[in-house]
This record gives sequence, C-alpha cells and structure tokens, in this order.
Amino acid sequence: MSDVPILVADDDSVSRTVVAAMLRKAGYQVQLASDGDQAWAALQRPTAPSIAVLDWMMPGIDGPEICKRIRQKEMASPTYIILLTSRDASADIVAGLRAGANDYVTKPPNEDELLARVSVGARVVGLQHALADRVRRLEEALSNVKQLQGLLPICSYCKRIRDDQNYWQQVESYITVHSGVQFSHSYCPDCYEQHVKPQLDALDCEIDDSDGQTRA
Amino acid sequence: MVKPALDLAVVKRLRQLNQPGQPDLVTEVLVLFRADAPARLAAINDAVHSGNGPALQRAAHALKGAAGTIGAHALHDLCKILEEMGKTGVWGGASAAVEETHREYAQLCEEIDHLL
Repeated sequence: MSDVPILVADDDSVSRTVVAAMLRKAGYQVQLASDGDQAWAALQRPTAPSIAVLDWMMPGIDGPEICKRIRQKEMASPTYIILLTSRDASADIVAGLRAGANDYVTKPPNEDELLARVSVGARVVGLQHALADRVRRLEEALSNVKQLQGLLPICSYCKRIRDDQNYWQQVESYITVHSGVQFSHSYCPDCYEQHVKPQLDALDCEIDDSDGQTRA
Repeated sequence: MVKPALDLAVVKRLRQLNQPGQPDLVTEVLVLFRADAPARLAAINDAVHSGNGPALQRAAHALKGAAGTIGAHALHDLCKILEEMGKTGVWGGASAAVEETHREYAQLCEEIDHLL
C-alpha cells in the first residue's frame, strides 16, 4: 500500500494539509497541488499518481473538469479519482460521478472513511495494472503466432502451394513462413528404396569402376 | 457560559495524525487557518457590500471548508448560510450574518491563541 502515490489537490491549505496528513499516516506517498491547473499538470506526467483526491471547487480547472479530461484520454490504467465535496451538495456528487469520478468523500473528511475509500481505489488500481500487464503480454504472444487456417490451393502434381501473392511455393518453404515449424530433413523407408538406395548403388559402382581403373 | 468556537475533540483527532519527527499538525493547521481567514472574511464583506452573489458564494465556501476541518462548527454553519445567500441571491439578513461571522471568528481566534 505504501508505494501507491496519491495526488491531493485542494486550494484550501487547511483541508489539503489535513487530508495529506491522514494519507501519510496510513503510509501513502502524497503529492500536493494547490489548484486545478497544478493538479492537471501533475496528472500529465509519466510518473503521475494512480489515485487523485480532488477538491470539487478549485481555482483554475475544477474537479469535475479534470475528471472529464482524464476520462477522454486513452489510458491503460486510468487514474482513480475521489472528489472532495460539501456534505450538503448531493447535486454536486451526482454531477461529479457523471463527470467520471470513481468516488467522493464529503468535507471535512472523516479519516476512517477517507482511508477506506482510498484503499478501494488502491485495490482497483492494482487490478487495472495487473490486467493491463496481462493484455500487453497476450498481445505480444499473439504477434508471435502465425497460425495456418483456411483453404490452401495445392498443385495436384508437384504439390507446390499457391500463396497470397499468387506465387507457387514448395510446401516446406510455405509452412516455414506461415508457422513456427522448422524442418529437419530426412527420408522415409519408401523414399529410401525409391531414391536414396539407387543413388548409393550408383555411387558404389562408380567407386568400384575407379578402383578397377587404378588397379589396371 | 459561551459555547466554545473550537471543538477540542476535532483538535484531538488532528493531533493523533502527528508523526514522529514531523512538526505538530495542529499548530501547522491553525497557523494556516489564521493566515488565510482574514482575506476570506474581507472578501465576504466586500461581496455583501457590493451585492456580488458568486463572489460571496466562493469566499464563504472557502472559509466554510477550512472552518469545518479544524472543528469550528459555528463558523462553518454561518459560512454555509452566507454561501447559500450568495448562491440564491436572497440577501435577507446578510449583514447580520456577516456581523455574527466576525464575532464568531474573534472568539475562535482567542481560543486558537490559547492552543498555540
């Protein structure tokens, strides 16, 4: 839990300091922003925190606007956003959730409630990271697979295969290109009798002949 | 006996957030509050005098948040009334509410000074 960085953005220094103290005591790494522009800049960095606690009403870009912008971005692991709102503002809460916030905490925040909601966020972020990692590995694996499927036009006589570019290829070169298979060359018993043995016999004859010539 | 402006139970909870080797959080937060509040009170005054609803809403909202966080419940509630006035533009009793807010703030400052 302790290595999860959290952004706390609030223009009210009192609230910001107290929220940060609650999170630090629970072992979180806290980054601070004192207005919406600073918060947005912090969330753009490559090392942006995965969880953001944002005040609803801030100078610059307000909390819901940051939610909207974050949700418009394509991210493998989107930021988990908790909005800080007034206790009496249920319309704000609805608008904030609609804008893309994951959760909200009313001000002044209760320590136990804040930490419980943040730990839900940390769990979601952990799952998202694991999922994104898995998808990445699957995509990698998929790019290595060259599966053979469908109909292959093959010459009835010479057994060459016509590829997508209309070239006729030897079976072995076609399969090497379209699969993970590599050939190790050998011969079957029938072909031994039909092709290999006659060649060996012919070779023997040649050797016998040349021996005879030497001796002569 | 006058009702305390500052809820010491909240102050105690804040003190429990202190970490070894770090400055006292209660002192830090109360000093921040004292530093920010006068400008917000002045903004509330200006907004009420000029009849600027959105400005009143903003200033009262900001002071309300800080007051609620340190446990200044009465000041929080007064700010909430002012914020609502700013939002709705219904100004009846605004001046009286501002006066009450200043009285409450003065009492709060005395109590904060005892703690600092």
